[in-house]
Amino acid sequence: MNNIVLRTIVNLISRLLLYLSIYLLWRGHNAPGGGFIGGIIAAIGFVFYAIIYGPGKTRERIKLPPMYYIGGGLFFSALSTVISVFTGRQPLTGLWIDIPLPVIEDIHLGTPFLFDMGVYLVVFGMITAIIINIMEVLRWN
Amino acid sequence: MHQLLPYLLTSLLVVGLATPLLEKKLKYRTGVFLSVIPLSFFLYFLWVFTSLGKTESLIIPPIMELVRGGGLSVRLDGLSVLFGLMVSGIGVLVLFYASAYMRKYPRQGYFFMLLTFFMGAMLGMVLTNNLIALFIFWELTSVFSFLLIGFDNHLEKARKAALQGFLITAFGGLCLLFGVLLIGDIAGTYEISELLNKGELITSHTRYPLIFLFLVLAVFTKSAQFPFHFWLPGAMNAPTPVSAYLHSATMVNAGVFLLLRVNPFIGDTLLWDSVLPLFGSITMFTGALLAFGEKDLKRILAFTTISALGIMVLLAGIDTTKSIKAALVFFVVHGLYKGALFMIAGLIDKTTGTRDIDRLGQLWKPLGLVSFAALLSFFSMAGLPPMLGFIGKELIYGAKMQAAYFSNIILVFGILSNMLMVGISFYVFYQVFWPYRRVKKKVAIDGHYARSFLLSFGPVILAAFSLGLGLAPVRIGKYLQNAIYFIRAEEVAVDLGLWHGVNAVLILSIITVGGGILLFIFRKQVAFNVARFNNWLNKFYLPDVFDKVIKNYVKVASRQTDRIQHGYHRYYLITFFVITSLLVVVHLFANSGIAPELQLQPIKSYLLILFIVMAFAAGYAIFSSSRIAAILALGIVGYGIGLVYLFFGAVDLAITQFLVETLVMVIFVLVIYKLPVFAVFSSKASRVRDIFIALLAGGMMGMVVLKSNFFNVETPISDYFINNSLNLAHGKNIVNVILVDFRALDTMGEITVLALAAAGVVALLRLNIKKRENE
Amino acid sequence: MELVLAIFIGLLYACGVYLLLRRSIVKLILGVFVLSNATNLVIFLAGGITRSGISILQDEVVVDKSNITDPLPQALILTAIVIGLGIAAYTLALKYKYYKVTGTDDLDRLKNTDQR
Repeated sequence: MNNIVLRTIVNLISRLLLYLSIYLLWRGHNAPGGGFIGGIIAAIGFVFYAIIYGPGKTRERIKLPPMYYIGGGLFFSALSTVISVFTGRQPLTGLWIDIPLPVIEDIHLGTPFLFDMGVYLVVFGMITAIIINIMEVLRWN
Repeated sequence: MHQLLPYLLTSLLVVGLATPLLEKKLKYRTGVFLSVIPLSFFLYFLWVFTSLGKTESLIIPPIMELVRGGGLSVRLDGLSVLFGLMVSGIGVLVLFYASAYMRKYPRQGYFFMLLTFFMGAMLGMVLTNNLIALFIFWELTSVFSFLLIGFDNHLEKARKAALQGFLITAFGGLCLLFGVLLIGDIAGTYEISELLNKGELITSHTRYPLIFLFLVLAVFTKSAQFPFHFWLPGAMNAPTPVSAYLHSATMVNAGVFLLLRVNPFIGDTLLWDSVLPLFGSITMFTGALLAFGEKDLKRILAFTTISALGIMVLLAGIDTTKSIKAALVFFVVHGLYKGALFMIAGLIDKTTGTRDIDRLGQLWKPLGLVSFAALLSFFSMAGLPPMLGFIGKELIYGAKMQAAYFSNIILVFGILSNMLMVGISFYVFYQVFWPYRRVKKKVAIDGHYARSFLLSFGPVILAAFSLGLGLAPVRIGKYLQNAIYFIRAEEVAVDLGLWHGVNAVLILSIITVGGGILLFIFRKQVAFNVARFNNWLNKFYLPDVFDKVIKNYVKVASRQTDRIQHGYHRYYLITFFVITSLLVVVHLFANSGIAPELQLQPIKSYLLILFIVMAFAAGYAIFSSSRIAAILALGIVGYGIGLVYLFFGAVDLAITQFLVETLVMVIFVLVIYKLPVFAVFSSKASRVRDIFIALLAGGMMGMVVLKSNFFNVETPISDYFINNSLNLAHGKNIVNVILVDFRALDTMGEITVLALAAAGVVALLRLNIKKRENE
Repeated sequence: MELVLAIFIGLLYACGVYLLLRRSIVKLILGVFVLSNATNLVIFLAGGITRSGISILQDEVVVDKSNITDPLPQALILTAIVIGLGIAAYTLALKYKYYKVTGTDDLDRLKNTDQR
């Protein structure tokens, strides 16, 4: 589809959805959102992108092969579950640190966030992998 | 030093695994290289054997526990070390032999790996102090035996024989497991060292006959006792090194080992003293008789092995100090001469290309030293002085006279089968080696094999041992005391000698040899008649009967499977849904009826409209003939469910539902256009039937939901989550906190599933691409 | 309310089962999807339908904790929905492959293992 307006809009939307998904991931612990939702929203942005620009372009856009995202996500999640072991606690114990910041709200960071990030990456990777492969194999665009 | 033994055993496994790699580097020298391990075992055992006190045993606790309170604890006493000596000693020679014998075979690395594993399993079995571990090793030897018999897996005969041997020995293994579990149940322990003084408890228990039956079945199948003897001649399809090792000197003796091992706490009962001698003597006689009718050198040896195993079971069954002594000595005797003879048979096979004793002949000169070793081994087999075999036979006669039940019959059978043994020994030696026998056509001789050092090394050494131990029997006798102490729980002085003066035993020996010579003179007639008897027996040829039983079993099983597993996916589902629904509905009505006092909540009108819309959409979806319309209609249902979630305050859930519904529709649409349109396959009648089944299942679910709504489910877990979400996990979104903190392990599993689903999709689709490119 | 919900869920199940019993694979996949939706709904409602508070705690307002919708089924269903997506994609890919190999849409042709 070569409609220039459509292309620009989709490009913009996929970008916006990506930022939105990261925001949802970040606030997921305290408000609706989180890794699952964030991952799906980010992926939906790229699904639009793939429908307009084709799977090849989408592969370039997401830089790494989707499987890498899945692997990385699994790694982050697994990592977050074992970090607490190194501090002498049971595995899967959540650890938190406070990072005080002067102007905006204090940042409250913990291993569950790392875990959620892993979930985000796995979901994102899964959906993009499915969509891109289906489009390539079935010769869409 | 002793603590190293378990590690040594483990190293055997590691080396076994590495064998295929070693074989790439070392080629045919692999066997020679590998023999270092059994050699070190042998030397170690020799040291233990000579240093153990008369009533001393060593128990090395397990490195780690396999089951609670038990593991691979090692037990070193006279019995285990004696068996260990034979297993490792003959192992060294067999590895030497095999490295020359297997030179032209493919997959040598695999062969040596199996042989090493087998050695490990066998050593583990004799050394372990735990009955469960003993069972495991026992089964392992069966498995490796199966793989080794079937090593020439391109031959149907080999595969068949391997399967047969395996089915029988594995059946015995199962019996052993039952027996062991029963023993453990009664005695409360599986450790042999603790069981030794619990004999009274076990033999007086009401389940003792059952235990005895199971153990005896295990022994009879493994040690090829009548009526399970028929798998052993079939096992001769294995390469000769395997026959020499497994099916003469080691594995088949496992049954005898088990008998001696459990004797202190199972033995010495009426059952033991009558059943074992009975079957032992039948086996002894049958084996010796049938051996006469065979022409194949290896099969002759196999039948004499059966006979020898019968003797050992018989001796273990007589269960006097003298008979146990005889059994131990005969075990050594038999291992030495039978190992040597098997190796010689293999050498002859390689040299001349045949094992038929009628075609072979005049091999005395061409084979040189090996002929001499053969002569000595045949002497030992015939029980003639000055070989160790003579001492063994003398002891056996002495023991048989002591038998508690029907000792006369046993003695007669014993003399007859020993006569047959003498006859066979002379007969085979005459046919194969005697330089003055007239042969119609001389067999061609491959000098390369005849002079091979590696091939002749084993038999010569074994024959030398037979002779040496026969001349100086005191050496071995002194060290048997320990074994006997642990089997019979009494201290005895063991004195072995070639000459005991003129007594009843000596007279029996002379009669035996005389009878054997008579048989030798009438060999043609005897062999002919036995062969005829054999032909007649073949009508009830046990391997075939066994085959038939197995085949029928499989046939019945597959017919049953065809009936139940008909392959029509719909009918599986129909069966499942109808039965489940009926069971649940009946249960609901039978117990309390549905929700007796309904206190209905009022329904919001917009929710009612939503439900009606969704119901119409779902109904439209299933009867629509347009694919895209069906998908969109189902999308409406999905969105509607999302709204329901939202109505009940589940925000995260609603968002996810909307997003996923969208994505699923996109994916469906992407794929569906590449698929054919809906085709109507089913008839009208079947559709009506399906509607009824669907309504039944739906009604059942509706009732369940209705019922479950009034259960007043307590929510203690959820309350915990609600109350602790903020202060323990620092999160306000309880759902998210549960996902990533409280139940993070579950989520971990779920994202793994997602990863696998993605991998599955990619794999499925990519497989297609390649295929298309190829076409 | 309860009655309507029960009837609706029963209807969804009936639709799912009917689709499952078709010989066409596409319908079978749709059936699986309907069933998974219906089951999610059942699990969700098993937490009770009297409470409908949002399961998010607030700092300022004191939330009536007893009115919060049971969060545990929500967490279970959330993952189930996403996994349902994975399964739908997988079955579709499987179906596509099946169609490519056998050239048919008929489930009864799946009876034997060595097709082609």
